[in-house]
Amino acid sequence: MGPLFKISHPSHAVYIIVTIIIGMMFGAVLERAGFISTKKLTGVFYFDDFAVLKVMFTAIVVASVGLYFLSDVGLIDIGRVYFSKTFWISQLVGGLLFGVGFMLTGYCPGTSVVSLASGSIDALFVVLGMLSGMWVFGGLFSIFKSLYYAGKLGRITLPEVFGVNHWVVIIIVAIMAAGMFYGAELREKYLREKDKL
Amino acid sequence: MKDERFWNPYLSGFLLGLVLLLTFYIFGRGLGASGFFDRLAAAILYPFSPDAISSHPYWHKYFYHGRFPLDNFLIYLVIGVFMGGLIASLIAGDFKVRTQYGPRFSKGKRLIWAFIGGIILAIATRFSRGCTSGQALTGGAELVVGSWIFAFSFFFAGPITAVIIKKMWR
Repeated sequence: MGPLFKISHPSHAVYIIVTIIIGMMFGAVLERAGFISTKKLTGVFYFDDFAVLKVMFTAIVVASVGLYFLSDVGLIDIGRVYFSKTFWISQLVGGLLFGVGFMLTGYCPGTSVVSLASGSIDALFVVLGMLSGMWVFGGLFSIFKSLYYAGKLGRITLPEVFGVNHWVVIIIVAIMAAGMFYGAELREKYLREKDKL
Repeated sequence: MKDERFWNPYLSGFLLGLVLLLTFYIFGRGLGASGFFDRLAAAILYPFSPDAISSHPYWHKYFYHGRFPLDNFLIYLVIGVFMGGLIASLIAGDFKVRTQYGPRFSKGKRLIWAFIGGIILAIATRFSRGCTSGQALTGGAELVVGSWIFAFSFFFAGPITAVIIKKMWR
């Protein structure tokens, strides 16, 4: 029965070691996916490389199917899995800013760490910028506070909003992902053939 | 695009999904990255003014019950991410000290914008309460409403910004 570390608490040392191992797997997959390359990462928004889209949505579908399946068969207590609370207005603004920041840096926070590990000097500047950005946010929190708490909905999921079974939403997400993959493959095929001419 | 240096994206995505699922099963939480930088930022300021930081209206949450921000899942996770990225890039022969930018841009400008972009990226993750890992990926798989709102607004602002700053990358 999971989550393992919430059912029976491990020693602090075991917790740290297992977390670092999970992190190493995460970092290695991001590196092998090619997410050390700003050309590849920015390609998702120049519509000339869809690796980000394919990796992200495949991972979302796999983890979603896995999580809800384990929950349905009683192998994980999903009530003890942390779900971040929704503040939809704040997160909408955050997402817009994130799109700008992603394009200016060529990375997201996780991939900047992996790219730095692979030797990118530009990723070092992104990392230092992010650290400074946290100071800016903390320092100006009194100004940002009302937006930060705007749109509070609590712990809420799409199946709850639409009043449907979670598998309905998962299947819709999977179909949406498949549609995007199909479009991405067509576009990449077109670009490859154009290159040959 | 097909790039023989890297893994097939669907295979990478499948493995990434399994890593996330394993994280759910072991820890009862998902992956994340941006929280690392926020915790590090709070921890660096702490020695200068312990009382002000541990009672700060935003950072105080990292000091509950006598805890310190660096003794946390996200800190160990991102240390692992760095190690995993380093080892994978060395084994694959990808490791190279370099600066990445488009053919029409300059190195100096790239580094300045990387820093400015980093500031914006960090502030963005505070409002969205996480980044691509913690919101789009983790919250996306959990079907959390705010995570999908984040993902859609990210994918809306991305292409628009891409057009405006095309000279930087293409």
